[in-house]
Amino acid sequence: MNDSPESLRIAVVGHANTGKTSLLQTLLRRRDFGTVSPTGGTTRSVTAGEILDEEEVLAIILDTPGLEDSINLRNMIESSRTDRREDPRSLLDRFLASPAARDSNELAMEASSLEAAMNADVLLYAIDARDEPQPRHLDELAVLGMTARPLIPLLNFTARPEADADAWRDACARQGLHATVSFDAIVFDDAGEARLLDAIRTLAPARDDAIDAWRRLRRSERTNAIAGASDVAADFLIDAAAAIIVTEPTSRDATDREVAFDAATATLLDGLREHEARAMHRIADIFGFSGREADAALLEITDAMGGVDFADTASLERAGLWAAGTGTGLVAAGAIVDLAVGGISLGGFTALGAVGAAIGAIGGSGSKILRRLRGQDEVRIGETGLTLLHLRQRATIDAFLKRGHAAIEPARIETTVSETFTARTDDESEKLLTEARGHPTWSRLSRPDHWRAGRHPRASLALRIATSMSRHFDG
Amino acid sequence: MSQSSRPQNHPEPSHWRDRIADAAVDDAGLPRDDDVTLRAQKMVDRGVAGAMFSIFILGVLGGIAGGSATGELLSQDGGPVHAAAMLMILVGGPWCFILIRTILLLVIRKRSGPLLGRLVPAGFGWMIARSTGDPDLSAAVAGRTASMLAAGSGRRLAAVGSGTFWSGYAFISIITIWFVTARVALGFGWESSWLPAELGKTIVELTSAPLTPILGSPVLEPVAGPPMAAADDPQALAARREWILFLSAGLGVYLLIPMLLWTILQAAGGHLAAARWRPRVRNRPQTSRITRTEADIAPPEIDPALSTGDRNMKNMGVPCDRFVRLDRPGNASPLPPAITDLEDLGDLDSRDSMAAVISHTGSPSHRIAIVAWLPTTPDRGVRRRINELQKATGITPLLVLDGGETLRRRESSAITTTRLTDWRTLASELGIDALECDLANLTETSRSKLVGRLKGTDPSGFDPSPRDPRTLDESFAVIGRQLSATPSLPDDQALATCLNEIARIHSARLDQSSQGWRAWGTRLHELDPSDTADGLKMITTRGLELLPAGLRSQAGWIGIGGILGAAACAAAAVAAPAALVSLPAWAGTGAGVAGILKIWRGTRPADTPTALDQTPGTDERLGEAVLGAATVSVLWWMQGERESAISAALSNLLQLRKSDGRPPRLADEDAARRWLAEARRTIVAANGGEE
Ligand SMILES: Nc1nc2c(ncn2[C@@H]2O[C@H](COP(=O)(O)OP(=O)(O)OP(=O)(O)O)[C@@H](O)[C@H]2O)c(=O)[nH]1
Ligand SMILES: [Mg+2]
Repeated sequence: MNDSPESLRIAVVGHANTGKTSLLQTLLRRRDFGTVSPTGGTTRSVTAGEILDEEEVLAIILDTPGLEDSINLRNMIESSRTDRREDPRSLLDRFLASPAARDSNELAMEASSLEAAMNADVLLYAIDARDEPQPRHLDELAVLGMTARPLIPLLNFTARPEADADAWRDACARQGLHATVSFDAIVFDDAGEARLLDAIRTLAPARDDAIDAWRRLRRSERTNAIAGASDVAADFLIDAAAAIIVTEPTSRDATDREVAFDAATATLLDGLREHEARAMHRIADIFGFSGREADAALLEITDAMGGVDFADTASLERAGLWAAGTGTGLVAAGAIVDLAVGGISLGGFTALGAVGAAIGAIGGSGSKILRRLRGQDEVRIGETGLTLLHLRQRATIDAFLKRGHAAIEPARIETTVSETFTARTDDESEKLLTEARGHPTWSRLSRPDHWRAGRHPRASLALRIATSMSRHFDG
Repeated sequence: MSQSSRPQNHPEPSHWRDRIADAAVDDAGLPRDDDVTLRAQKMVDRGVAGAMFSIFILGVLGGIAGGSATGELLSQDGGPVHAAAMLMILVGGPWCFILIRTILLLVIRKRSGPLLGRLVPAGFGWMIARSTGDPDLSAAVAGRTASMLAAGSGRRLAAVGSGTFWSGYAFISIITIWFVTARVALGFGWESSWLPAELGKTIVELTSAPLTPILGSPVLEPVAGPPMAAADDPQALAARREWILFLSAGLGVYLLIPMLLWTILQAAGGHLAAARWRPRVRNRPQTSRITRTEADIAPPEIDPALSTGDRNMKNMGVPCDRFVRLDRPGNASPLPPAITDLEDLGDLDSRDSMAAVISHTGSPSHRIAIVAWLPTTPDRGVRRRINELQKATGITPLLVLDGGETLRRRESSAITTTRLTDWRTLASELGIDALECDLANLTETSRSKLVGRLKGTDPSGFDPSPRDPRTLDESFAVIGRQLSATPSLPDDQALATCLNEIARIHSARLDQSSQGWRAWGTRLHELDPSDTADGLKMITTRGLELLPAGLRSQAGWIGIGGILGAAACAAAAVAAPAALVSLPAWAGTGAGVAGILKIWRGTRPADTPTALDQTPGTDERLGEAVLGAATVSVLWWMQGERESAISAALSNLLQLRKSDGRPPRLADEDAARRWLAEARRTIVAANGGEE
């Protein structure tokens, strides 16, 4: 292990509340780094985060207190100038030695930030891209310029509609800063991070091997996470596709049969919900997020799908409308509704029973809806339901891939979901799922307990589905 | 202070069995300690044993199959054994089987392990699943093993199984030939019932040719079995020996050796695949570390002399005659006349501008309005600039907080609240008067409030009476009463009574903004009572002006504009009775308000949007009346609130019961009561929950 002077040091500087700490959280993939809050002056000391590959320190990123009073800061530094040709660094040294730099009522925070900047190899200047370039920014840049450190203007909040990245690029260019990078701390963009690392590499060419290793580390981390998440998703989807619930044996009485059918449907739906939630929690975990965020993502996805959810009977009727609305033709418009009223006579069935039929017991041929076994029926999820589950898994992974570790509130992921819909043609994983049909022993959801762990064909199907899914995310 | 969290990376084990065990322990959520890992490893070993056992069984089965097939072919009831046919069946059979299967798989484009061989991976999993004691761990081991097998070694393992089967088959066949011929002297010949002698001969010659290195050049002549040839006839013995050698060498070279090679190859491949396999990560390795070495810098001290505010309050009556901008973005909407009428001192954004502004205030000192931008963070820089200005002028400035809508639009409600609180804290810590006021969307109320503050005539810097849900309840109760009174809602008389009572309930609050009401009354004064249509239009318009700007053009509100206008008259009568003295029948008495409503209904133009395109039915009229009265209650209750809060509350009213932005249709008193209850709950919840 070495975090000696050889390690690349990057200081994140900027005005208060521009998301410096958030940027560190996202770059370090750690939500437990520092404190993020919408109030200014949250970070009150320099804190370091190290990028580690095994035990090797690739880079040290420094979070610094915000420059809050740059007018005063610049004034104080420049007014101490005695000679026009004086080296700016010695001006800074003089300022750091002054009483104001130690007075917490004055410029102690700015001083500690500047000191970190002076000892760094590269500065990342965080900008809230929703703000207009203003004189205080120029003051900050002027002071930071005195450190004689290469500086990269980092446009944060760029995923927000109010952000004006071009205006900022322009303003920065006019200050002689051309390496401006857009990188939103909350809506994560893998390519954006790569651009940032490239910019750092250009400005600190002596450390290029560390940057390359950093990039490799992130790339393999991402690939691993995608693979792991696809595994989890594939596992759940096979559980869902293969699940068969056999109803309790009943008399030939129709009402009894309906009751048993309803119970089995409820068991299936409950099982699906529970296992789906569990899968999503694990996916969240793989990406370094919490279960709470997985739940939020699920809600968002449900929302983006027009409120179609297994938990809500009425919503399944909307599924048809929703599918028609998306225009992707993925679910035949109205399929769920049709199934709910077509097929066997479901008139007498309760609402839940109708839903069960809508999502259950219908094979591709649609020939035989319920198979009678000693007065027992079998319930399984229908094609449409399976498609929905598949989409939800994919949308979840998509959402987490695009989520920075600084995100506090559940991010709006509607755009992600619609991208998931439009990009789904190249993914054969859904088609593969049909191979799991008719293998109740492959599912943990099957009742009575058929589940057998470690089935070789199941595992190999899971692997193929997962591979196909991860190819979609990597592509 | 130093805190550092160490990454928890484990060294990767070198053998796949240990990798499975480790990954499974993680999957099962167990700690990776020696004991647990050992248990998992034992399970993997059981699996391996299961696979070995399956392979052994396959070998035995193959042997049985080979032995019985050979035995059957050798028992020729005294007739000679047809050597060529026998070789073809024993060797050709398996190869045909393998060939057909391969073709079949190619045709149906499916990748599948050898049929019989699948027993091996199945045995692997089966044995693990049999592990008792720890079902979670064994399921995890089984799952990981299955995915390891799925990654390539499974198919190889299956191939090993079938290879072993056929090897066993070939081996036992050879043994059987030797065993049988050692006990029975058999005859060998060319021809069989289905193979012509010539063809049989050719086959034997062809197949024996490659065997010459082993057999030399065998001279294969038909030989009869006893009793045709004597058992100890040395020539016959030698001939038989040649035949037996030929058959065993044929089986060995054409079946046993290829199968053994194949098996060894597959075993090696499977082993390689297993060694190459890496468990897919399902937990994240830590790739960063946090190090803190510095202590936090203390937050700045607050000057208690400033925050008491007493010193400054006396200045609040002084009118502002200048203004400065603080961090106001260039793209913000232009300032309203109320501000631009003052002298513009520019932006407070640099040392020089600070100096300029301070020199401008000079003496006698002027009171300055600082137009600040809510979305910016009130930091130490902002605080210092305001404080310096305040110190230099000696008069407390007025802080006008603009940009609230921008803030609300771009941040979540939680962040918005934080930002507002931060600004309010800053103002109170500096002891200055602050007014949150969206300059781009001024309403009657907020404009008069702004003007009042700028002129120093409305010094109330603080909300005098916090909103009490009981006040809202009281006015809703009034509406409820009028639902069952005679005449009952939606009768104009009942509605007028309702509006008057509601105004009285909220009179304390309305008094504070009596400025606006006074102005209202003055405008009414200009009305020509004879021109009812015009007067009504004005009342409707003015009624709508009570609403936040964004809502005014919505159909649902235009529909009840008249009620709002009438309500405003009632309120004006409460708040500024003097101004209304000279009014005719419009006056804010019950009868006057009823009169307004009556005219409004009578003259409502046909194109006024209502709930439906036809003349309103009773349910719509009741809906309008109840919505109108409720809206007025909420409006009066929320007087002095932010526009956006009022907007949100009122929008909630129109969204109730999926009414789709139109007044609700209320069939009867019960429906109206239900609607009111729901409305009350929504409004109170949106305004900070239950009492
Ligand atoms: N929408 C959005 N919000 C962000 C982004 N980055 C930061 N935030 C939010 O901005 C606020 C400030 O973030 P911080 O990371 O605390 O900012 P800081 O620069 O460290 O602040 P100080 O330490 O106080 O100087 C928080 O509410 C964050 O959630 C972003 O890229 N997009
Ligand atoms: Mg911070």
